[in-house]
Amino acid sequence: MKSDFWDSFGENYRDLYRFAVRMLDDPESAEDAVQESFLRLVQENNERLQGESARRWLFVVVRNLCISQLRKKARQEFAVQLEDLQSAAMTPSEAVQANERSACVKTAVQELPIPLREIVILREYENMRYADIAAILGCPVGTVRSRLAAARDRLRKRLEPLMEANT
Amino acid sequence: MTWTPPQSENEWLECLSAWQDGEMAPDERRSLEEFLESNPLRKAQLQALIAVSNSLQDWKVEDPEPSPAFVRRLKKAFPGKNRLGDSIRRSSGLSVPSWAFQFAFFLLGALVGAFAMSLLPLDWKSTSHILSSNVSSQPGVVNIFIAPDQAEDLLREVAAGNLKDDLLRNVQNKQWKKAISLYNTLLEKYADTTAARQVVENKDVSPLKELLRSEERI
Repeated sequence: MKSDFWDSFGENYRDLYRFAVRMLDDPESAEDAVQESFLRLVQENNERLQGESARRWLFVVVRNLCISQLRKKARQEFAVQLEDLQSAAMTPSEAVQANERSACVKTAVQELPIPLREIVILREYENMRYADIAAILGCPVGTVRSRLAAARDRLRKRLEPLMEANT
Repeated sequence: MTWTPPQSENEWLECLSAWQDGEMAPDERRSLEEFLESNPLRKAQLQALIAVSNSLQDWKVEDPEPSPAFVRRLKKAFPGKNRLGDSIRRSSGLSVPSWAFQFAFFLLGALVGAFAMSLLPLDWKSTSHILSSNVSSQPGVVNIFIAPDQAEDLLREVAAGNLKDDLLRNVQNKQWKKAISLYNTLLEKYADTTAARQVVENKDVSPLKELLRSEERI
């Protein structure tokens, strides 16, 4: 039975890493963000940060680090990003390649604007409830609900060729 | 609460998306399901959203272990004999705390737990309600002291219960990829909870287990 947050250290580390790597698409930067968050938690030295509250606090820090990293990257690589987006567009023939399914989904998620992307990742991959996502992002539950619906609609349009090829 | 069909396309998307995530009130959920039975267009829209969620599960990310260098760095940042130090020692395969430390900690936990339980003659449902209210700090909710160990267990039970509900709904809707992901999460992270035991014994989950067996995943 896990009685303390730190007993779940490895588990939390992995959950945070998965979130960060999906946000950043860069394992090295993701690992840096997760490690930085744990170090900040230690420096915080706050007795109240235990269990779920510590986990949530870590998600908030990792999310902020990811966003700051993405903004920095966007400033540096604006022109390159535009080219990448064009070349990353899927065609049905690509979509039918089973080994490219993962890459297609990844591209589709990463093309989402950050406010939609982070919600999709927290809900679809980390199975978080709307209330928990809202607490991490610091926004109302209604915003989570509407952004998630909008994101799913975009993904449906984007992944349509892939889903058709799969049926 | 009376459910009225959404008016705009955006509201429909939100409504169907919330149904998919189990984020609707039970009566609203039932009303929507009844509505969908006689509205194939909206039902197809919901199935498309479910297909999107299933497709998203194709993107897998490997789970790394914390690197030994990071564990060392974290340990250095947090020296001394404490829970973090102990946890990191366990995580990095080093020695566990002494029996005296463990015993003292256990005794303290038991005393605090017994005291908290004497203040809380509540069943699981009412306790988890109080706990979740505490976490969300909603106004008008009385905060009641609860031992950290019990709080952690209760949070795990609540989280596992939510996963179980999600899982059963996905099995019922034949959203197999999502169901498999939830089933694995439940058994890997919350194997010691009541919800996990209930899922293992639940006959409704049999088709999923059959599927997993056929894929030689269990």
